[in-house]
Amino acid sequence: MATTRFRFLPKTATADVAFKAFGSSPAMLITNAALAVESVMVDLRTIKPDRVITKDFDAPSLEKLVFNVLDELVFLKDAEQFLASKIKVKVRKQTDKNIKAVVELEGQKISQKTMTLHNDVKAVTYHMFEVKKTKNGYEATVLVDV
Amino acid sequence: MEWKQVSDVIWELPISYKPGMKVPARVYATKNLLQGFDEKVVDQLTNVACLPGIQKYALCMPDGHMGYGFPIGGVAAMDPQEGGVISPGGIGFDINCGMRLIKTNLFRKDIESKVKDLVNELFKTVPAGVGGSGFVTLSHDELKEVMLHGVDWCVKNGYGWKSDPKHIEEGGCIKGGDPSKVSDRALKRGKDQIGTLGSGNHYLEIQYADMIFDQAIAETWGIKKDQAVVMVHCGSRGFGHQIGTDYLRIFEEAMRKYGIHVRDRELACAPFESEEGQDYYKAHICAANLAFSNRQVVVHRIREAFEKVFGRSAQSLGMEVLYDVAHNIAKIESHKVGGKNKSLVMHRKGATRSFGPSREEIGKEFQKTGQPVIIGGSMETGSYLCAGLDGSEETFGSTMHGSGRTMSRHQAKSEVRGEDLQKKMERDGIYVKAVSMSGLAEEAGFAYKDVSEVVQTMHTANVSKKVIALKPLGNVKG
Repeated sequence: MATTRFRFLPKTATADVAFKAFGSSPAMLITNAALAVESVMVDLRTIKPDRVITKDFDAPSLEKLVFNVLDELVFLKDAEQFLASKIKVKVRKQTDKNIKAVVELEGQKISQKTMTLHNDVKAVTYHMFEVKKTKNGYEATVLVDV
Repeated sequence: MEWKQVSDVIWELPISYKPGMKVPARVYATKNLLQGFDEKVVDQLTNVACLPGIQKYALCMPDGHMGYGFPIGGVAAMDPQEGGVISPGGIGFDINCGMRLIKTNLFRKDIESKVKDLVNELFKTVPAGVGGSGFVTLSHDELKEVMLHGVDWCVKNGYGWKSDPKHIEEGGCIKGGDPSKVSDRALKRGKDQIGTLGSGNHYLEIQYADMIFDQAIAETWGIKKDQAVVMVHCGSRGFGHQIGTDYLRIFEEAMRKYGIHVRDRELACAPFESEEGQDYYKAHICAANLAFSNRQVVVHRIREAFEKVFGRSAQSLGMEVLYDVAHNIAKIESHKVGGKNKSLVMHRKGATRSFGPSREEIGKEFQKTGQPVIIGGSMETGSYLCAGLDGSEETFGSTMHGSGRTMSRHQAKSEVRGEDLQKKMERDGIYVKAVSMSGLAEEAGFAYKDVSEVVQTMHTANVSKKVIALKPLGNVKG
């Protein structure tokens, strides 16, 4: 049975875009939240990956780690003109005060000719931002400024 | 909730509404518009009323709607002498997002047959949408020059006329920026984006003057009925967005240091006089100057496109800047509080400065009329040009910035397809080109409040005066 990876919250934001992402593990949560952010900007099916960018992250909590990864996607969209459609996350170490992860982003340089583009995400906001453990795993609530 | 009616268009919630409120919250709206304000806006506005150092009122303009931290349409004045803070959530990530209007000496009859050619040319030459990069790539040194000198850099480098800066808020260059307070990440995001529109509700639009409400002011500004103008809406792009993100993180830590508690993490703030507050303010000025420059380079490209289509120089087409206003910004301004002049940190988030004739800052040219206030409506329904009034002292010299959304982006695109909207608009005489069709659907006219009612509200409040109603002919969107 397919599981919901993320769900947009149309009634939660007026000018911006809010979503909830889900994951059975911290790694899946980050992957799905990252795909949600990319989906705000592009139809993922129109990306033809030809480049892999790997980034290391080190954060004091899962919440900070999710925020930092999403912020990195927004940064790469402008600085490298890069959008990803496949995202793999490996959590290398997790303690109460620290979490380390490697994130592999498969994607391509933005093409307005070949990609179906949506909204430019300006920033990930702290408004309603929440990462919590649920009985099925993990859940993140995110609002992005577009 | 129990609103106290102060006037036909002013509604107030007292400090007893929520624990921690330091000042009352005021909304400017007709009764009809007030009914459309949802509880989240009120919650956000009353959170703003709790911020340290806030003066008189937390204000929301009639185009207000839910944002993050402050509501969109939010205005707050903080007194640094009373521990007043600066908050990126009261400015927005898109620092100095704003509007610019350029005139032409063409009339509707001269331009209607050329609108398609113009829009097609503008769509090619002014990058828009996700991934749109500009034709100017700046080195780090050049980017620093832009941060410090704004539009003056553009004019010096051939992207503007000598007369342009005097028709821009702050002359297109706010003093006091410090590039050392800007991160490398912001530099990397901003270096290729000058001269680009972005997406969302950003656009450039060819319009004509449909109705003149104040003949004398319109004449002083050089606009007659049916005259064609071009409106531009964009901001500081990834550069400003990154500065907002960087300082949000810094302010989260700073709040612990200064013992500040806020009701929404997006209201993260620091005392204006603190090291963190000053650093953000200086970095934010760099972004504001970049945004003025961004709109300047866009205007340069618009002038080129008109020259190509009409085969005449932009000068001979009368393409002067009427004005350029910021609507996401913090400014240091003097305002009266309790009969005394105070130097305040004005936060305007989706709100426009609306200074009347008595304010020196607006320059000699506008000393008789008040500053032009550019109000971007939806791409289907039209926009307004207003004039600032001295009555705006009630709102710390602030008014609305647009019509204000009533419908979420998702809801709007579930009701109309971008392609269908594009065809309908063309049938209605508006030729639009967009990078994103779903983005176009999100900006449909029905997703916004009635701009005329919004503008009339602030006209009735004696804050900004209606001068000209503008109607769209062609539009380029991200």
